[in-house]
Amino acid sequence: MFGSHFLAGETDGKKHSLARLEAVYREQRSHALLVARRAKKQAVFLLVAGNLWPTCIMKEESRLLADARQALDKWADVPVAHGFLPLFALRAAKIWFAHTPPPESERFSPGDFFALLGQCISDDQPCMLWGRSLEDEFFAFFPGGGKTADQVLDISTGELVSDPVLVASLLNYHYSEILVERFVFSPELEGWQEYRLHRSFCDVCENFLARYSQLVGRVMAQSLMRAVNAFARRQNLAVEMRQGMVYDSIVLPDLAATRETYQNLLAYMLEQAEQVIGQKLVASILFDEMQSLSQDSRNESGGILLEKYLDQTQPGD
Amino acid sequence: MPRSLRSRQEFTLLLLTMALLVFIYLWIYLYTPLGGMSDEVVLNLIYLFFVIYPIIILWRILDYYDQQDMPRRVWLDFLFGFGLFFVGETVWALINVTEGEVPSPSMADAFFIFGYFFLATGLVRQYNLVFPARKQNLVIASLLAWLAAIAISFGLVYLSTGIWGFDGFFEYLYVALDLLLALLAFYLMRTFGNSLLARPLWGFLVMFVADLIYGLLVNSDTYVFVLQHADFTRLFSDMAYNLAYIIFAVAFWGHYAMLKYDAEDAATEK
Repeated sequence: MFGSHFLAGETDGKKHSLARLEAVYREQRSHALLVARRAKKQAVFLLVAGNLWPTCIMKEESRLLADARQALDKWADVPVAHGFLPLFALRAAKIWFAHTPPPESERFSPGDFFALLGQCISDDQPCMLWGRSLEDEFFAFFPGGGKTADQVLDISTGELVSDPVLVASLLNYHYSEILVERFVFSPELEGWQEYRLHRSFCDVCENFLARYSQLVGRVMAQSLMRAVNAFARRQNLAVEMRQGMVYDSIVLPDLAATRETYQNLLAYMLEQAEQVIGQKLVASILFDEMQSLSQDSRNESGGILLEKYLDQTQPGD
Repeated sequence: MPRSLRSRQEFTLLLLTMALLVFIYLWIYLYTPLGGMSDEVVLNLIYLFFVIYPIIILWRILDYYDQQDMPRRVWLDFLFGFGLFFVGETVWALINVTEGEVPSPSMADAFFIFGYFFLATGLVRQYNLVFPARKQNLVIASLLAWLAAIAISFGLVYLSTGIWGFDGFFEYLYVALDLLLALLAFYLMRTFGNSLLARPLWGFLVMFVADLIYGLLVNSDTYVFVLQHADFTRLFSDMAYNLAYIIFAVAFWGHYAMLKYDAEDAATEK
């Protein structure tokens, strides 16, 4: 089950009221998993910043998505296991708790799993793999469109990895059978919207840096990346730019905060670039970038650009 | 010492040095304290310092670019362009000091023409970098620009002398070439706005003004080559050239300082 790792230390067997636990976590504004058990049935609830996630997972022989509030009322006064859910695991949890119908689990040999990775890379749309083997448990995010996985949530080390070398080593070296669930992209789900924002941010930044580097050379492009990295460090944001690539492990509680954070980071980078090449050229690069995107991607990328750039990146300017 | 403070101190030192040299230049020009050709020699040396300083900075800027960096080609073109200008100016100064009057055309003009070729190539490369989609017509546009500059120069010669010839042709050619460079520079400046890359381009505008003044004075026989007989019109022309090279020097220095301190920061981080 999702999150069993996070519940390990918290399954005290005591009878907790679901409603009381919800109140405790709400007060702390923390993220948590609550698992209520009755006979062979399980109800799994997600709390995001203390608030009950609208859907929960009902598990008996199969897994079903149910209305969390109704289930909470029905499952009052049963033994509940609960545990904090770290922020880095929140996006995967949001997707896990919203996918309907939940994907089937499939067993893969290491060789077949490797073929599955290739399939995820060549898919047009993003997807998330939840893999469990004897050695490991992980969630891997694939942007699709020929790109390799860009984020792996490594449960055993407890971190969201975005360095491509580490991502590759986490995914490619498995020696035992792997149980895999594949979550396909659903644009209406918050978890996927956050992921799309992350991809838009990375794509906009990487395309901009490539063009900027052409204009001013490698040293000045590196200088821009260092300035953005320093800014991100000051804001305690897990993002780093190196050699024209963006390694982004930012996960925030909600979509609005995520958008605002990406907007601020991008605005800072563009302001720094403006000092060297001027605002008009920055806007022109962004305009060219926007023109090369599909309408959907343009809307998504437009969502993280500040107004002043948006005005100048509309066709017809 | 913080990077911004060091940068500011070095920049202040640069400005003070330039200001001191301008002051000495003016003093010698106005009071001719050394007498004979010595004043002319010192003025030419100061002027050559203004010309060579941007070259030194350009040379150092190149260190911060990889061979495959596209902007390196732009800076390299500028280096060759200003390098040839420096040789041309040195030849011009030598003729000026040894023979009094500099004929037109002189040996210096060959260096200036080649210098213009490199400066124009540098600006066109910069344009290509900024507007990669508009590359296809650029070769034709460059050829047309050179032809236009030559035609304008002949036209101006004809207008001022009434005959088709080479008398004063080069003075007008430089003005026409400057004008074309300044127009391209101005177009790029509009794109770069008030940014770091826009600053050196101001030099091209001032260079156009300087060459225009010089061309008009020489072709109207009012440019006085002998310092003892010189008036304020020559001073005005000479100071315009000094100013153009100072602007290039200061702007290139800004670019160099940014590269230098960024590279130092990167080394410190490692």
